Amino acid sequence: MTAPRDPATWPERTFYAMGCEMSARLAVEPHVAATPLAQVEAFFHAAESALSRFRPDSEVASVNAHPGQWLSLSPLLWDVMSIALEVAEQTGGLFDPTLLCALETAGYRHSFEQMTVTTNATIPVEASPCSNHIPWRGRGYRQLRRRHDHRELVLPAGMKLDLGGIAKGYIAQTAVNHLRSWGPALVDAGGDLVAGDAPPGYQGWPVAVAAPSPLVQGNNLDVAQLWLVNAALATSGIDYRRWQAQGRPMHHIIDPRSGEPAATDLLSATVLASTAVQAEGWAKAAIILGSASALGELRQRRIAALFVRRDGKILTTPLAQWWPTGHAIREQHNNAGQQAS
Amino acid sequence: MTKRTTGPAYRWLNAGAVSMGILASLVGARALQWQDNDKAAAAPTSVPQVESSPVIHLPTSTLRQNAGEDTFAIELAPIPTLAAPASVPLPRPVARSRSSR
Repeated sequence: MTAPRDPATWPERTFYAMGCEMSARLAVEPHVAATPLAQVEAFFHAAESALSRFRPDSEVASVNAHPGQWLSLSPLLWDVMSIALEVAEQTGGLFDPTLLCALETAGYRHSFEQMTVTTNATIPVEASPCSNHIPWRGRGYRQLRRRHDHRELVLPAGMKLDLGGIAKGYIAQTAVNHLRSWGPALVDAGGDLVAGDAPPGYQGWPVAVAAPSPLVQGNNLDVAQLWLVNAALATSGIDYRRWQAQGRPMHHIIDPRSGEPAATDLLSATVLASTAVQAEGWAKAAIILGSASALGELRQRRIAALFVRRDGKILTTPLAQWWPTGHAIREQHNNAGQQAS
Repeated sequence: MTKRTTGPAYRWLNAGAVSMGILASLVGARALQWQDNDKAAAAPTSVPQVESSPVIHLPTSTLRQNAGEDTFAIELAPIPTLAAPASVPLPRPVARSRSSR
């Protein structure tokens, strides 16, 4: 009996989209895989052009530029918004797609690669483009109004959409659904993984969870490994997209309760879910909650998750207890983890 | 008055610059219904048929009619997860989950 083919040898297409490195892999012969993989790349680029907040001609930018007006959304944006709002409800509002003003106030106004070539950029203090003197508390996705019959939406003044990671997850999920027609597939959307069926001879796609970069000084180290099949694995973290502004460290995960970057003891949170959007939403919620509350909340919901704390300690919910590789990163811990705080 | 927000990018999509299959997923089908004849020709007849893995349970939702009422309740199944440790050692990972980059 011959050994099954190494999953890493199946055809793969890599490309850059939505500010991230993307890849799509399809477990069929190369001459079959070429067309659907190219279609996936085209799909990412096309969807990015509609959903990116950084593109002035995108539909999201258009929505953000017209607060207070009823707007008719495309089916794509309506669908992504609807799913994002579902996840907002599921997470009790910890994930919220309407926090762009807070993010811009914190300094994240341009795509990250335009902000700096380092991860510790210093952003000059500017007047917030969203500043309208509305108290932060009481804002949030529940203020957004929709008319379902005609896919219409109105943003209140001072609210802007940021679909960021949710859009990425949605697109990756749609891509896997598309590739499923040809064979087993895996899409890596900048670190958010979505798997279809398992490659031949295996019980899933072998995937890993990378250690947050500050703890390993940029080296690659896997803190966990698992099989991924017909599910999604998303990691959210404050280890990469961070900068200095207003004299203090900032990162891109906004706590909707304060309107500021979350004060958290977690560097990263990795969540397994049935869809990428759910995984992304809960990973962000976990970061905001911090390790103790997140463990309790996700354990109660029977969600498999792995957290890496700033001190290098790895925590899992019971359903993820066999994920860790056993590689200790505590010994490699350095002050960089604290600098992200 | 309702304003339409579909900008040049979306019109470009509608112009058919992407395949019909991709477009189908754009226009709202979360479960993609692939109807393109090209696909039938291109689809491999030897797509590996993998037995469903014993370690993942797909989520299902159950719609139940409330007793004596015309209302329904949706019961969500748990989010899927590994039900048991991997029975064979994992080969080298083909992808890594990490914060977006």
